[in-house]
Amino acid sequence: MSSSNLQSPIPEPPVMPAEVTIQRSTSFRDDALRRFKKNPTAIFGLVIVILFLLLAIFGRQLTPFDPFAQNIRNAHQAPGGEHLLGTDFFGRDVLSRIIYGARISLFVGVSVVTIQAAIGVVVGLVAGYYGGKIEAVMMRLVDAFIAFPGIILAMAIMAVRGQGIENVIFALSFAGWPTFARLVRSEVISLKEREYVQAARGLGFHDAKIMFKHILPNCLATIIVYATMGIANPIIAEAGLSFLGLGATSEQATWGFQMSLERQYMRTAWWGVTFPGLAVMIVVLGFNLLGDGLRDVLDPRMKE
Amino acid sequence: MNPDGEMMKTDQQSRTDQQTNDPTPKATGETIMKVSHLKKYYPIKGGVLSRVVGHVKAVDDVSFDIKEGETLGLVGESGCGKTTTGKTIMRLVSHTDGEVLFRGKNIFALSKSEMKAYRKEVQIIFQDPYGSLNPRQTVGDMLTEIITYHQLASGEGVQQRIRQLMEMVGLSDYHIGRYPHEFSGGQRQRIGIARALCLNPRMIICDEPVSALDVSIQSQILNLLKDLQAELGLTYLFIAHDLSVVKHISDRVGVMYLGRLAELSETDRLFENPLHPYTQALLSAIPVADPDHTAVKAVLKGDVPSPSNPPKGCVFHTRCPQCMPICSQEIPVMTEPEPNHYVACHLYPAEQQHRGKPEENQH
Repeated sequence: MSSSNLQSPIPEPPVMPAEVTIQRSTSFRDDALRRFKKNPTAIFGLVIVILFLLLAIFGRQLTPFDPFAQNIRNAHQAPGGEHLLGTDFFGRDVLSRIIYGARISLFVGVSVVTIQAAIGVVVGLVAGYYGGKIEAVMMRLVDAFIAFPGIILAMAIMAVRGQGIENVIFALSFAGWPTFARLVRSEVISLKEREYVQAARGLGFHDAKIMFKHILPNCLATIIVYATMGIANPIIAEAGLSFLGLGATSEQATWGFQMSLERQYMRTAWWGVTFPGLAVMIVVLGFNLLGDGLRDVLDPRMKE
Repeated sequence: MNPDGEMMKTDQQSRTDQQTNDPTPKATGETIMKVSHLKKYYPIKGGVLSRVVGHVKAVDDVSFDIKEGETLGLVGESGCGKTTTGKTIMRLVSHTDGEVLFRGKNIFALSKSEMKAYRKEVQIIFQDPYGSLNPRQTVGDMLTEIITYHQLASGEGVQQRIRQLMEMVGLSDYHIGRYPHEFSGGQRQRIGIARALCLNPRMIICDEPVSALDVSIQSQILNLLKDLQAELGLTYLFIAHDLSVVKHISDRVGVMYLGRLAELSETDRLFENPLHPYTQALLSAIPVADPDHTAVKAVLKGDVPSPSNPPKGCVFHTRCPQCMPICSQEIPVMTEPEPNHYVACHLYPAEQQHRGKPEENQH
């Protein structure tokens, strides 16, 4: 640091060579990545998630049997043998159906959370930033949504709109965005009092720029963490809706749908319902571990 | 004490001496900003329907003017409204009443384009060097954003301007690509200053710019601010609670107490001859670096009253050692017992304006 303008009559101590004070310039991202690598549970979660993502993407190529091919003579074969995880009532290969179902389950999870986040972030940003009447109106709406149990609201929407995965996505997004709005709003309220946001206002930047350039990047960590952990919810909810017969149609073969079909044979053929259930559990566990790890890494308050 | 510490102390002592003797050739005398009867009340909401049940009078009827090229210091205890005054002038918080004229124009009635122009003219430096920089932006990103947003330069000119700003605040080119967390407090404050200078403002509101810094860094930043003022002819509204800092940098000083301006005068005059009992108490509280010095302290009793329920009459009367019956009845008006020395105190009634030192002052 320059100290030449001090005009001190006493000789200054020798200035340290500049190189000593230079740190390697690491961005926040590099820093986060380094800490992520030191977090074994997060890595474990990531591995699970990537594994299922690969299943979802290359599912068609990986299925040992056609997930829709029925063979009544083969019905309810026990696991092991030709069919690794057994067959269901129609003689379809359970493993193939799980692999095929991964695509739909993950698609539902990711798209629902994306839509929820997109709506919630905008509502939360606007409500938190402007405050006053705008906030009051928006947040009362959010409260009204949250007052409904999410799954009941989703069931009501499904009952109106009928079965089908698009309707599941719509219903779950519609029921879930208010939580995001609340989360973002509370974050924005604390961030907008920060001096760098005030400085941005002082510099004359327009509101959208301040909201999206200065506030949003600083609550992104919270959003990412919540979204990652949140992906598990629609997967469970979809399974639940399909189990109740309000979700996927028979062509869509999701895990929940499979479980609802096979639940009546649970005593005689436990594999038909157990393995899809395990798939749900493992994927949810993966996203939760990943989300937990991301929170440790991204949340500045968790920094050591 | 170790020899190093001793050396630093003498160093600082001699520096302060040098600077107080240093005549300050500033202030062209033209008024750049005129604050009149500025008020900022924060509503207190209570009850089921969150009705307004009272007000915190953060700034209550404050008037002063700032001359082009000068440094006006604003001192007071924490919570006296000095920062709110600065932020209201910056239009970061809305005002309740009163007006602020900047070059003759009321800043609370500016159109959108006029407001943008005002933003270019008046900038702010914040107290907290840790909170005042966006942690997700490098210094270069931050300055580029400002320059391009206000179309101050384009292409090569942007980098050139950034390098120029870095040099002005005493940072090097290799700092440009760094994130705020990689800097020390003093360096961050320099970045904050670079941000304020980026728009080439005429006036900067310094909101306790050195309070959060190490004492040895404080003087560096203060000297940087002084150098920049000399170089660029800047006007400062310097908000601080540290009297020695204010004395060092200000041409004139205003003393605030509980949202009101108690006294306003040229720095030397105020420090040599404080008129308001509050200023007298405040000045006597400055520690003197002399073990043999026996201070005759005018110690104030009690706490600062709540700004949501300030005392009637003069807000200081509950703690004033020279309280008179009138003090709890009437709010004192600003009078000018000496030329350019304003004080809001019943000890100096309006009839005695400009008659030199009033007798009440001889205590």
